[in-house]
Amino acid sequence: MKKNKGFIFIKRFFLTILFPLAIYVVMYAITRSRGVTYFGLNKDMWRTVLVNTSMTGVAALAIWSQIKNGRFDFSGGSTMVLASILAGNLAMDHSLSPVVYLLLCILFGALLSTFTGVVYVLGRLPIMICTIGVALLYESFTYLVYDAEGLNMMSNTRLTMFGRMPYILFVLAVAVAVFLVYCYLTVPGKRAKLLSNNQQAGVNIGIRENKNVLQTFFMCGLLLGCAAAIYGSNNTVAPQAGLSTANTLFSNIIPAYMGIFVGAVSVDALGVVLASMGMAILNYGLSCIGLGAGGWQSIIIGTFMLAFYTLTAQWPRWKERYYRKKRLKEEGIA
Amino acid sequence: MNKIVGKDWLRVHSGDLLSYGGLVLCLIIFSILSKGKLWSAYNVGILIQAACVYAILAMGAVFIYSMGYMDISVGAQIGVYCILCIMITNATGSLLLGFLAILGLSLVCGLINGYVSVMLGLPSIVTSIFLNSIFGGVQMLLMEWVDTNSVGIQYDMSFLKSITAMVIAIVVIAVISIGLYKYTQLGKYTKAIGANETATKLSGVSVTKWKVFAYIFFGVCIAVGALFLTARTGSAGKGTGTGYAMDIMVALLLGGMPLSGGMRSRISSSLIGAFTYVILSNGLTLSGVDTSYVYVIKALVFLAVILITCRKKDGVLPR
Amino acid sequence: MKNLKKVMALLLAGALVLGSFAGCGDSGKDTGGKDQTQDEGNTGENEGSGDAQEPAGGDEAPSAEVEKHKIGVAHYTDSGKGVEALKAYCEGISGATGCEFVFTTLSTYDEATNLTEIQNLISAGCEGIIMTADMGTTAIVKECEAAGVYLAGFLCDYLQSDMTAHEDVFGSEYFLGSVADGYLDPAPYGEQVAEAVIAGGYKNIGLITFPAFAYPKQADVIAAFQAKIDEYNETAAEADKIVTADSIELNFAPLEDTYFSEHPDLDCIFSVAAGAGMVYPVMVANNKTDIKLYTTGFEGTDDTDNFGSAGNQCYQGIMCSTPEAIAYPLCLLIDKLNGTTYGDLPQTEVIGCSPLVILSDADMEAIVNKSIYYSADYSKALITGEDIVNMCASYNPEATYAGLVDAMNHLGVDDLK
Repeated sequence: MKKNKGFIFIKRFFLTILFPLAIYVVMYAITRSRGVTYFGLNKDMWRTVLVNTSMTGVAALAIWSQIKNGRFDFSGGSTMVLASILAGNLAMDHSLSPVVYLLLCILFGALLSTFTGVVYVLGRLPIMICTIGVALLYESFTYLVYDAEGLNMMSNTRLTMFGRMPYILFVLAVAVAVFLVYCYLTVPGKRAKLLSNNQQAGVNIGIRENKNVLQTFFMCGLLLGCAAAIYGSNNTVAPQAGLSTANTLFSNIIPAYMGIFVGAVSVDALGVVLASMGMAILNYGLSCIGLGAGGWQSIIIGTFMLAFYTLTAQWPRWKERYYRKKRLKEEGIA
Repeated sequence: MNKIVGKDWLRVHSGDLLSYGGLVLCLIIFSILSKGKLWSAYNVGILIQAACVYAILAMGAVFIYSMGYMDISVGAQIGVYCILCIMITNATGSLLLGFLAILGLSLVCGLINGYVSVMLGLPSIVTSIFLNSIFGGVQMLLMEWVDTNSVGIQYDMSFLKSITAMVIAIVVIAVISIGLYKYTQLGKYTKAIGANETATKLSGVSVTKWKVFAYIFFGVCIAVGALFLTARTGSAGKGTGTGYAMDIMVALLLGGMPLSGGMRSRISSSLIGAFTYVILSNGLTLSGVDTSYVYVIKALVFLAVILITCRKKDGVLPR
Repeated sequence: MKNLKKVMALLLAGALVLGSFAGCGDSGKDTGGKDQTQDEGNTGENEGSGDAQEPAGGDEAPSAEVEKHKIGVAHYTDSGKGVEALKAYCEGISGATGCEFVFTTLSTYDEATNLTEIQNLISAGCEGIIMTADMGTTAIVKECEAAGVYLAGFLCDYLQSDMTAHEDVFGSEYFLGSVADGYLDPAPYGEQVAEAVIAGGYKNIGLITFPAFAYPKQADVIAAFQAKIDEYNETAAEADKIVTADSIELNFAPLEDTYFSEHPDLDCIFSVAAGAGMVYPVMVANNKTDIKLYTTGFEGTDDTDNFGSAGNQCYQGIMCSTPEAIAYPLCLLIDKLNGTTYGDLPQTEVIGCSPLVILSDADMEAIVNKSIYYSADYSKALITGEDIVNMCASYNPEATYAGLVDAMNHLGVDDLK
């Protein structure tokens, strides 16, 4: 039994890390064939990969937390931008510590996201429409606060501690912990799952949908706050308009969707993080061979994503076909 | 009896009235704030020019959004189509050839969006993101290949640039769209798919077929939109079309279109929304509002319009 | 539910009405001229031919004889120190010049958006438009021709239009010319940076530009830099020779992290592409702020705090142009609208202006303390509203085009000090 358990664990572990591992092996072969020597166990590479994994992973977790409940949230990007501007400027103006900056980001993220939930619940608007409206509103606020200067604190090595190794991993761990605890260990999380599977049935059995939605938005806000802390530490945050922050949704939705498959034998949160890692390794590898930006990079990433989805979407069909054949063979028909 | 008929009529058409009301309110408010400049012949002309491409794209997009799907690749597609139209027209001297080329390409994209996603069992958003990446990359590569920041058309497109041509185009596309949407199976089934795809499939309707037709019609609208966009500016570059996907979405919402699709979808949303969207920007500039405040006013107006037109009164929270 | 709809409808109307207050309240700020000031201008003393004076601050007393004009300013961005400085400068010169300024934001990507914004400005009553981006220019010039509105450029060399649509743009009587963002031929900055690099003792230089198809002149800057370095290397000892990496192009995206792995020995980077946004953040992320950065564009934030001997001492060279250069297109527009031109006015051309080249702590101190670019304080302007009036042929018969061009060549750091 023990052996079985150990074997099952090893098998699950291997299948879970298969995606980033496979990408690493393929990109290693490609970069070595092009004479690039710094793709491998290089310190600089893994620092970059882990930082990008954390940035993308936390944002993807926030997006996934809504998508798994059947909600397309366009306001995530604007929440992140506004929270980082408010928290960062407050931290700089009052010479606050980086921990306080992180807490402020999480606080503002939670407040803004909860407000989005309140608009959704009270407005009774379709979620996409509601979040587009809130995104436009938050984007407009970026022009009204702090004289439309946004946030520039990249060079403040003290405050941007959580945007760099190794503390960025702490933020990622916090985000994963919040996600897992809420979704799997709390009652609201489990109720959210019930509602996402069958909304009407969930309401009929007595789940208070409004309260649950607000709780989920609050939790999503905590994750967006973590993403804001990293984003503000690593970027010059300028005021944005015209739903440009919606690009955050579309660029981080790829690891979010991939996470279902990558984490199929473990948990979806781990799948999302590992999918982010895989994409970070892929992007780094493409940079090494001169395809890190520009037209070809866009085409390669798009094609890769389509191939991944196509293969994973065929998997249940193949599995069904395989077991059907096996059953027919056993029954002596095939 | 008349009173009951009136009440029923109001209940059925409340959505239309509310979205028209939003447009009328914008017109009234900005007429006052701009001291009548909104209605000058010049301003009406530029409103039609600015709204033309959005209206054509939005009318095609109604079919997609009716099914509850979305297409975020429209901006990148339109950029590539403009560049290709210019390059082919300059090379061959024939605008018709340039248009036919981009029409063919748009039909292929419609097929990919509609058929390939079903064939491969993918969510539509995935094929949409894929096409967005591909077209974005192609647009960048095309400009690198021609080695210039923008390409200009050498063909005289003054007729297509005229207000008359744009109005004719909007009217023709509107007539075709309304005809298809209200009087053919395409409109009926796209709304049904948006209302309940499973039920529609189980009633024997080929969801795949009608999805493909809807995307093909949208592709035609994108090609026509690209033609008029090229006519209007005479040039295209690496960033042409940026942001159009979101603009179309916002325009449809301002027109009262439910993004989740279904039976409440209507073509009028596209026209109302396109003009409301354009009048909002135009009116705020004419009124002399500081650029910092333009965004918050647009956001508040948007929120107010959607709260009036899209609010679901009872039942579970809308998804 | 009915009540909520009524409330929302009222809120909608209220928001639009509030917008009118915002518009009314800000139209003074936007357009740079309070009604009272303009009225005073009409009845006050004639200061049009007086000596240029340093204003005490805020709006100047207007000249009695200036005509009122509405000028649209279409900027390619809507936030940042440059925009704030430009708005403050326009507000400051509005009274003396009689110009009401209306601002709008262009797109750096989409031609149709730019055309729409210009059309909105024309519809708002602008008689002249100053534009800062060369995108969709041919259609915009045609639009201006049809509307009888004049167009001039600022912070842009209109190279794309010059190369591909010269007759349509430069041949139009409604396009009056432009002042570029700094030197018209930017190669001198390359030479200045090379001299600074040689003096600084840096030995391993990375070179970065934007793609040549979009910014062909950036390659000239690098070429001038390289020529200076090669000249130095001819006489330098082997150990003192400077090595330059092959120039790379940024595809309008930040520098890739792998650049530092590919070039582990760099001690200096010269980025003609916007270094503050595209290069510096990547340097910070990779702990490479010990590499010195020479670049173009001035944000007035990290690049001030970490310049020269301050902060992490990463930035060592910055170039940008000051908002007073808008005087060039403005004077051309004012004269055209007033129906007078310079006796020595040539055919429509693009000129350069002396940029703010910041290569030392003293330069940066001058910028921070004395430049309107950093402070958005009109009292620090090098060219006042009165100076602009004096440079217009329609207000000063002795004004010459050569004088206007000369004024554009005295906007550098040395003129501040």
